[in-house]
Amino acid sequence: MRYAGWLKKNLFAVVLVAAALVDPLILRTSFLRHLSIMVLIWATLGTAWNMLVGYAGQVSLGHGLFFGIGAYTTTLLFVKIGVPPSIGILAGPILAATVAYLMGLPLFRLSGFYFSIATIASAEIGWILFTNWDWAGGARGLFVPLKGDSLVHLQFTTKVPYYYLALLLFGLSVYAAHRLASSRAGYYFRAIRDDPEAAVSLGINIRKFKAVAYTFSAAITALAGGFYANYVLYIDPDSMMAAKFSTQICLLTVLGGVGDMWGPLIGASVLIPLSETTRVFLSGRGRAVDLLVYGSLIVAFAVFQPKGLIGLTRDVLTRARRAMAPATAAIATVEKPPSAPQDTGQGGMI
Amino acid sequence: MSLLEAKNVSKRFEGLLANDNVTFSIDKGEIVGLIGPNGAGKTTLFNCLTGFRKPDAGTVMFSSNNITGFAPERIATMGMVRTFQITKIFTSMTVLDNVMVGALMRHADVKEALEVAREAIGFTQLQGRDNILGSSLTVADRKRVEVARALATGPSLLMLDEAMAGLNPTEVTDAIELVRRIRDRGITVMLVEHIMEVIMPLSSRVLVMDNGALIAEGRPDEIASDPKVIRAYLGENWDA
Repeated sequence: MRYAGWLKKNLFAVVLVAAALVDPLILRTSFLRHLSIMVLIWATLGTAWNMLVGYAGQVSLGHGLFFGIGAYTTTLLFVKIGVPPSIGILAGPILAATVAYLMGLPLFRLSGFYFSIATIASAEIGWILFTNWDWAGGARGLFVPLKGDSLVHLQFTTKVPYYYLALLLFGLSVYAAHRLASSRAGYYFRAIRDDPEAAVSLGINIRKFKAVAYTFSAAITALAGGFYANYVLYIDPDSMMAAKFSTQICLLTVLGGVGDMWGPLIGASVLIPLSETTRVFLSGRGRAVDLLVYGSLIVAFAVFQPKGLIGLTRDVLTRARRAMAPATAAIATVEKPPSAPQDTGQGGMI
Repeated sequence: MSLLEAKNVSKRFEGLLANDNVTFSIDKGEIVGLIGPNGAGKTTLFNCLTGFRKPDAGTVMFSSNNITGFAPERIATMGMVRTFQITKIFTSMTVLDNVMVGALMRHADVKEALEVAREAIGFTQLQGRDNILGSSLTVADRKRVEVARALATGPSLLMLDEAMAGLNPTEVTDAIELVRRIRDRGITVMLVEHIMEVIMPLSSRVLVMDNGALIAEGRPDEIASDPKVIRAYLGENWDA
């Protein structure tokens, strides 16, 4: 009975995990598997971004910087001094967390828009630095030397191992985000977002906890960057530190539902297939069509359902339950005729 | 020995002297009322005491520590916790989560904090409202949640900034009762009000401000008959 209760409560998560595990058995083409991997990478990025923005309320539009730091760290360590990516991938998050912490000290003196502008500038600086840094490949970027199938080098000749690694990456990020959100820091993040002055009055050092959110978010983003580099096997400043990249993290999280644990996954599941398919099927002629389509989607959601797809889903479910409610009330009135007028009144209200 | 002591506290905004050499002290276990007409500088004084503004001159001592110029969050962790005139509820969080934020100040462990928060909710008679969102609370409940949140931090001095403004007569009676019970728990209370009817039956001592300066101090009955106070409230014509 205890297990049955647990199962019922966590049904959504259980179905999701089961579906994720058998996904490669159903999606048999290489393209569909590629889509799944990209969805998971972007869902991870959204989850990391969401912790800073959805929970702590600090809007960053420069997370490409941390993704780039993750990708470049593991690749440079491998190319230049031969550290295998399975180890090198862990250095990226440490470096990104350090950079975020040091940047956070001055940046969190700024509030609202000014913080957002500063994050845009930080990613631009990273982009310019790496574009002009010849040792790190400059504008041409870097190729990761091929090693065949090797877990140590995080390289595989088929998509399935990458898929499971991406799933592990996403699972880890959701688990870490969930742990953080339900700890003291999670309460403090939401308090800071809702009312910084009240947070201060309750003894919260708001700069410190904003820095915690920023550092955590940067580390997860860098981990995803490291994984991406070893999946695509080619990195360049343009594809990760340009403004478009940072904006896309924001777009998919807002579409899915900002401040909600499952929002980023849902947003990524809609936007990434849309973006990749338009890119593949329209090739050169269809450039930026994906951005046009989901730009419109974002505008529509911002106007009609600011809580995103997940908010929309919850609304529909609530309405469905309410539609069921009068029927139940009607049955109750049949069973208890004397109190009928009152009950129907209530049913009508609901 | 006094719990809170202000010595010659002054605060100027541009041309306006909001606090002019204010000196007073509060002993443990007191309920001290701070009254004065609108614009007398009560809230500014409150902000200077709790660290939300830095006084231009003077010192503030709390529990024998000089806390002048300390950051507000540091003062809160030392045990002086305030509420706000215009309530600052965490609107997207439930009543329980609001109070949890307070409880987590001294209890980093979420489970421990949960017990403390529930106790504070019970004490302020908010039980049954745990899961209501901050944004859908009535004014009276918002004020109560702010008090519960502050109590959950385990303060030694509670600073209430117009906790009863905007309440109806029944709610005011309940709130007065709540402040008494808070004092009975051993928590010293300082409250700002501009309604005499609240301050008089509740306070053990009353401070009166006008034009930024402290003009009178004493027991409620002394204050009520002080000509300077009457003049400040009713104007020069009543002087005779």
